[in-house]
Amino acid sequence: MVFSAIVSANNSYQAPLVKESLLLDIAIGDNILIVGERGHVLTGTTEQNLTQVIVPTKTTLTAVTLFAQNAWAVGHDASILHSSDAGQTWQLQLSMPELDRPFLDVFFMDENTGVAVGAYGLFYRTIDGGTTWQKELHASVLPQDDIDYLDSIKDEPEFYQDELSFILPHFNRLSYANGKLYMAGEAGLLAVSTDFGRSWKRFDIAYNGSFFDIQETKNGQLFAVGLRGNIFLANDDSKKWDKLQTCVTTSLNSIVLGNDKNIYITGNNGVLLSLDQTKVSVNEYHPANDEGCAIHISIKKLKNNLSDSILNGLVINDAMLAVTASGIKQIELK
Amino acid sequence: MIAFFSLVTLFLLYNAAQLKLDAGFEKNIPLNHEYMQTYMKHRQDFGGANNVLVSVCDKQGNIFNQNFFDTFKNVHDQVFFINGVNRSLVTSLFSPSTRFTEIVEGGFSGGPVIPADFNSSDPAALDLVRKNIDKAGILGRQVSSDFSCAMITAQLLDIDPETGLPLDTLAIAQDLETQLRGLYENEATSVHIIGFAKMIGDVAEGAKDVLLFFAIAIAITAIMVFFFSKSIMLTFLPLFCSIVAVIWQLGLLTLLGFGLDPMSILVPFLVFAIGVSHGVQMINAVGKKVSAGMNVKLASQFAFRSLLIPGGIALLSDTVGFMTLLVIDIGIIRELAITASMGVAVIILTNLLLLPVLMSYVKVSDKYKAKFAEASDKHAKTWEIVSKCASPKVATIIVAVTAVLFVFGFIQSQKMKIGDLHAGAPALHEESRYNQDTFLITDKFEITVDYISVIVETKVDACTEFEYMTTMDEFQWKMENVEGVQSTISLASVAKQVNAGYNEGNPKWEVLPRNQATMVQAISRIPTSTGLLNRNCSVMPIILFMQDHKAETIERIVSAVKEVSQEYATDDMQFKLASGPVGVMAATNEAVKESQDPMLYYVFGAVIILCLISFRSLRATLAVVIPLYVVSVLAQALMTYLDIGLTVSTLPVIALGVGIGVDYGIYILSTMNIKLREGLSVQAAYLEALKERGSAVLFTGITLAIGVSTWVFSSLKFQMDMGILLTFMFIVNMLGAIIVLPAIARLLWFRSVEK
Repeated sequence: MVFSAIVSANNSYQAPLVKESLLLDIAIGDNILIVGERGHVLTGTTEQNLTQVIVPTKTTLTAVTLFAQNAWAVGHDASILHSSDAGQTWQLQLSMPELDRPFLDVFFMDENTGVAVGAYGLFYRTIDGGTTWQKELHASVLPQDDIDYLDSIKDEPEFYQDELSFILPHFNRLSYANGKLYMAGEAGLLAVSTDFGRSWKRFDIAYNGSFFDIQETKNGQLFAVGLRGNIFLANDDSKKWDKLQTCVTTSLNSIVLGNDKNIYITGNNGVLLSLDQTKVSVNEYHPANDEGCAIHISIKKLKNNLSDSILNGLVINDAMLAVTASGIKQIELK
Repeated sequence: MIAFFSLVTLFLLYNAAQLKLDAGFEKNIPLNHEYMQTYMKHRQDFGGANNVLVSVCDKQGNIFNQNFFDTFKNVHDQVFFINGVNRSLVTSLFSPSTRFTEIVEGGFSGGPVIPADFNSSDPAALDLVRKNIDKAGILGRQVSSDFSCAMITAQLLDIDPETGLPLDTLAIAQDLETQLRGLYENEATSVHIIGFAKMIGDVAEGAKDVLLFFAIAIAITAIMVFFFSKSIMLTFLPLFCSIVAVIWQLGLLTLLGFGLDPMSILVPFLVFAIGVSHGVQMINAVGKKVSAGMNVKLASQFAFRSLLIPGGIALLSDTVGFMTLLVIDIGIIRELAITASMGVAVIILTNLLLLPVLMSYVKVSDKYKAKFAEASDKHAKTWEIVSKCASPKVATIIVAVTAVLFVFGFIQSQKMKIGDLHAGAPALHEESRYNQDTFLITDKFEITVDYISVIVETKVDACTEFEYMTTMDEFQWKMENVEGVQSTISLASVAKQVNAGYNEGNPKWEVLPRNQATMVQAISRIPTSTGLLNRNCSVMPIILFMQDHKAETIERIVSAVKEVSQEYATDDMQFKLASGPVGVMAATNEAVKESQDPMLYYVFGAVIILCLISFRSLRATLAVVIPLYVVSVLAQALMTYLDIGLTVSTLPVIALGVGIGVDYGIYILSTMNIKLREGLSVQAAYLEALKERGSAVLFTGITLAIGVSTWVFSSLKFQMDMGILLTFMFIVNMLGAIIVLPAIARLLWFRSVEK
């Protein structure tokens, strides 16, 4: 058998320190996939056997998703990579450096149907497994004021498109549960779609900072996390959102579902919170800290020795396999 | 004649009294080395490698108290006002450039870490500072990760702004010690200072021990010379003449406008020892003649005549040997070459000329003659035995053993390492305060003084362009992946963080923006005072922090830089080595490595030519030079065993050792050569040489060795290393001259008649 290696200047560099590099997302199917800066992609079945695979780009990859043997990774330069062998080999499906904006998340409902979202309302859809991608613009995620303004200029299609592109916020995260596609984004954007993203309904929430994740848990509760330690819980069929006091002032990046009643929330500066879903409605607080701030009774700050941002993670047994600004970390959850 | 010497001595004594200890950073570096050219070219922009780090620690382990902050503020101000400190680059918690930024809804919020209205007695204010430290991301750099220490970093200028003269490094070191540690270290706070200036200051401080060693050496030498000569007067004179040589040397040094560098402070000591060794030959010759019945005046004249040639040749070869060190393009080694060769040249005047003149005035009693003669007779029996070294059988064995030793030594010497093999400042002992401070700072902080900067030279405003910044970033990442590199920083990596900062601190945005306006926005938050770019950002260093500065680590990283830069360098983007303390070390190591072989060629070349001229015999020259060469190889082997690397301070040792070691051979062979020409057998000629010069050679070797072996107790590591190596070279060279030289002579003169 003859192997021929195509060495390309655009391929990612096999780095000894890849496991200590900035890693931005993790996904699990039959195996684990991790992506990060400089086109770093790692795959393996356990933390120990994660190894780097070479991909045809050096651009920073921000998100990854798996559907059976198919995997997609997206990132800067509006790049989309695809693997049909669960992450062993990769091909570039889309790359648009001229746009100068990154994809920030990707989700596939099945092996053909998926969406990739990113900065400034970047939204691409495929119905053929990524062979072709179509751009979409979604004005329906905007607040009512903006929608009204856009309606007023509908007669000038070109101007309308320009303004829409300009107004659209960053789309930071997608999640899917029970037929609903959720999206979290910049400037207080939380939205839900029941037709896999063709139309959106924006949640009304009294906060205009950025959200980085939104997830519906197994028992049907809907959480959103974002800037400056903000955790919101949807109540009353998502009409009303309540803030849960965390006493954290750094960004919260991801919601990680646990094996039990707990969910975990990862953030910058090594912040890792555990949240007991059974206590979210209790009006009780931990004793106030030095600064006079009292954390909600459902939330516990988990101690660890990290000081870097924890981007996302997977709960495996009693530990979290986390991707952080300083690489892969195994964090005890006890 | 005596009047002339007295006048010159008084004049030079006056000058010697003006001699100053003098240390400079640049003297220690090979300025003409390629790396150092880069370093000199850009140090206006990026400061140099001459930094000072001052870590102030709270002994209770927590800096958040009023006392600490008050003290720290004082230390900061004090550093700021030390003459010679580049005031625009003093950084600490209290410098206005130390700011924090945090991400809030809608943008950045920020301010100085220590607010203008900071009141150290208010616990809330201290608490606020603590939070700001977190936000500013300076933990590990300006504040230790365990909050027990805070750091002030400063860079030193090259020119003293007050006087316009080159900076007086030792004065700065003195200021650092007295005005920082002296004033602010107390039961609550400790002050730790590292950096070249402090190190050399501590070396100079330790070098003062040399005076004590000098006194001990004089005392030991005096006692030994007395046992040898059995006369107080004959003890006094060679010592006196040797001290005169030292005075001349130091006086001349001042006249020539040099100071004495702490690193070469041992040279006067060496001059003294060499002086004594030649003085002893002189009193030995006089003593022998006097005990044989000659009057003192005639004996002195005889000694002068018979020793002027071998002594002169020996000293001349010392001088030339030391002069060969001039080929090494490192200021301090050149100074050493000048100091040492001058000192040795002076001995020709003081101990070959002045000494016999003075001795001719000495009155010698009959009792003394008897004593000296008796001693000579006693030695005669020993010499009979030793002379067997020149018998065919023994000679063969000796040469065989020497050959084995040589092979073994040669193999071992190939393992010799270049550069410093230990962490901390190698000139100082590991347990010295300086090295302890270094260990504390490397332990508590993420920064270290072990870093090398790769200077990226490119076009104006290159930092605003995605392609250039990306190339830098990729280069940096590849270097970070080299074993031995602990972390890296450059404008590119900081720009990525700033870009993430502009995007709500989201790590997913930690990339270099393609858009030029966005790039400019990021770069504009990074001032030139960070040392990451010059004014028009055409020059940007990539700083590689290293695990240590061991020679092999440096070598690995330097060759990686060269390799990777081949891949990325273009016509308008060059990756140049090097700046930073380890850049200097890399250049020094390379210069030392390059000069090692030429230096040996020159030293041996000089010795061979001088021997050829004086003996007019190839065989005699070989007999002198072969043992010398074997010993220098063995000395290199010893260095590998003792973990002594070849550095600026150990490099000259071999040349010094060869230069001085050759004396023994020359003295022995000059007598042998005459006797051989007279037709004596090798063994007989050797026996004659031993009777005439043997005890003096033996005595000299031991005296010199004892003198330098006291350095083992020096508070300076490099003096200790030099002491060990020189002791080894003196003793073994002496043994070589007494045992190996006759054996080789025997084999070379194999046709000479046996009687």
